[in-house]
Amino acid sequence: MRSLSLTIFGLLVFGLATIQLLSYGIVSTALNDRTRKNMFDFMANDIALVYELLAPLPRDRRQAMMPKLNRGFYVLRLQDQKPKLPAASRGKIPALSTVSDRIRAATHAPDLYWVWNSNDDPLLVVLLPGGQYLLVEAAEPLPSLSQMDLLVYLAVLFLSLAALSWLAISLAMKPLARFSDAALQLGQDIRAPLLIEGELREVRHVAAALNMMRTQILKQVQNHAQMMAAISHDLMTPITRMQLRAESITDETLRTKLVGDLQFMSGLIVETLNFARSLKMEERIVAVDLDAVVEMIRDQMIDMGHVVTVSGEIGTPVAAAMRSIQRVIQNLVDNAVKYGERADIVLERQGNRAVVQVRDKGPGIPDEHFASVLEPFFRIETSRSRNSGGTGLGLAIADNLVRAHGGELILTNLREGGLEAKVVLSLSTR
Amino acid sequence: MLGASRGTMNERAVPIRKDHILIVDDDCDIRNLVAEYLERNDFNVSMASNGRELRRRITSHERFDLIVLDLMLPGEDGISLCRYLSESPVASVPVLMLTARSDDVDRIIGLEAGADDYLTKPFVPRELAARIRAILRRARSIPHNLRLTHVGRVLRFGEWRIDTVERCLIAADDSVSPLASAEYTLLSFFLEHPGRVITRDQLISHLMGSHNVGPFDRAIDLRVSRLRRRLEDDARNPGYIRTIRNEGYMFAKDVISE
Repeated sequence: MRSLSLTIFGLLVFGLATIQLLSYGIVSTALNDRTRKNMFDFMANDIALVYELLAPLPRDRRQAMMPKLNRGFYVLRLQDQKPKLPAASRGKIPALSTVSDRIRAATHAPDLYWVWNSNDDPLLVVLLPGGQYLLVEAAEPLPSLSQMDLLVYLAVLFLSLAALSWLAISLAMKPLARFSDAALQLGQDIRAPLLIEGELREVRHVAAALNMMRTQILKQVQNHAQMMAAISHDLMTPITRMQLRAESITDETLRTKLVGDLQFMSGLIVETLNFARSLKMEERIVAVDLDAVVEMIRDQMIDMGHVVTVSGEIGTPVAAAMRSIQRVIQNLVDNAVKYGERADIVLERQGNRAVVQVRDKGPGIPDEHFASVLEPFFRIETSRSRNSGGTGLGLAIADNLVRAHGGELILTNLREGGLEAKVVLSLSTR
Repeated sequence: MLGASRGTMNERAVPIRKDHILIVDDDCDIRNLVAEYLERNDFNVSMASNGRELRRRITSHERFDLIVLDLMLPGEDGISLCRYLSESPVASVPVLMLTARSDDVDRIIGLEAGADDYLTKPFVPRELAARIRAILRRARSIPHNLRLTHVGRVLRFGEWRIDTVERCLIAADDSVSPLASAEYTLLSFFLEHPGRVITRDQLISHLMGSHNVGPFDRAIDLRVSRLRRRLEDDARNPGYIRTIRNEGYMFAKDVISE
């Protein structure tokens, strides 16, 4: 998977480096050529002038002129012997021949040539009339821009440009990162709208599209829920009639069986309605004393002859919908006593979270069913659950309601046997 | 033997006036079936199919002990009729509301409009009869203007408040917790009789019906001790529910409507 930031960064850095190198090359070449040409022209004309001045003078007068001619551009010396220095090949430094050619053109000097001095710098030898030699060399060794300096300069420039591009990219990418976080949240809770404000236009457009998709999905879910609710609702009146009619049946066995079936049906209808409603929880969020809710459920379950224990406490109110959160815990406890013989509830405050764990002593959930137990109408098909008359909606309703609270329902098979259903709710006000 | 025969003689000697129930429901079958069922259970039943009929019967000074009112009616709906009943000269007639939706919204609106209790369809007929009897018992023992739902929605007692529509406790820090049906019935009975000694028998007959006396003593004590725990009341030095030795209990706080 490629990161957009890194790709753009790579492109920018590559482009910057190329531009930098090219422009440096062009500028320095152009600048050097120009400067050199000017320098060589000046040097040639100057030396030609010196030659013109010295040539007609007798040998003894020439030396007296020298201090006046030495103006600091280069060092001029007179010498009677021919200097014993190696000749500089013309091919090695083309500029040298340019200078000598120009001097020749300016003066008709019969003889001049380049040699290397002891420092390996070029030295010009001009033969004056009367067998004297004029030596011209640079006042000080030619300053050359060192290769090292150039590299350091380029590296500093390159690094600062790279840092600048990275800063620019991360600045530009920040809305995108925030956007991706928001979109991720949308995946977790479809009910919460995607909030993107004051961001890039492109990001806003995508956010709007996502929000539109979210509305569509919600509408579909609600249509679905409405349909289920409508069917269930329409079944209520006939079932009410049937329940009333069953009361006048004199055959007691028949009546008991019929009433039992009707009660199962009406239970299924009520649960279906509850499920439909859990998809769009509309109950008000208030501060709920979850410890008291659990205590109440325990007392009721004990009255019905079940084994339910409570340990620990949360100790602080939780922002929740009272009846919905009561239903969540009731459903989990119902499941525990139905499939796991008993319910042991552990209340705990973990930092900024309220945790309610409901543990049982049942067989737990087979691994292959873990993904589906939260699906509506799903039942693990063992003979026991088929007889127990569950609707397969209890966990789905609990899961929907917990998610509507921004919380999490986590199911785990305990190592010591039994299932643990854990509800985690945030304590911070939303 | 003797006691039993005397009881039978008493029942014969005093003709029992049957409670008069008015059933208001637009579904003809349900109306008739409910009427039949209630008649079999010793009620005297009349029927109305809509709000107009209900109003006509009320204004013609017919006397009812209780009205079973369906929330969804053609024309004037149950909520509006409920309000009409609680403001009319027959305000003392208790109302049992029937709703087809188990929505909390419907229930809350109905209770706010002055219904005494509610039952959602589909209901078990026995549950209907039990609810009617419970409401009638309450109506007999407490004048209607003192009945909790008629006093106000939120009542304060000591540190606590109760929301009679949501049926929940509100603590001093505004956090809420739901009351189980039995807890609510018990607490509301105490709140309706502050400062008075309530015998166990009274509690039993109120909570479970008059025919169940005896083995319920311990159940009542258990419920009271649970209620004390909910109210964080110290059983040794109770500030809310005092034990009156050899008599019963007394609710020791003033009840103020908010």
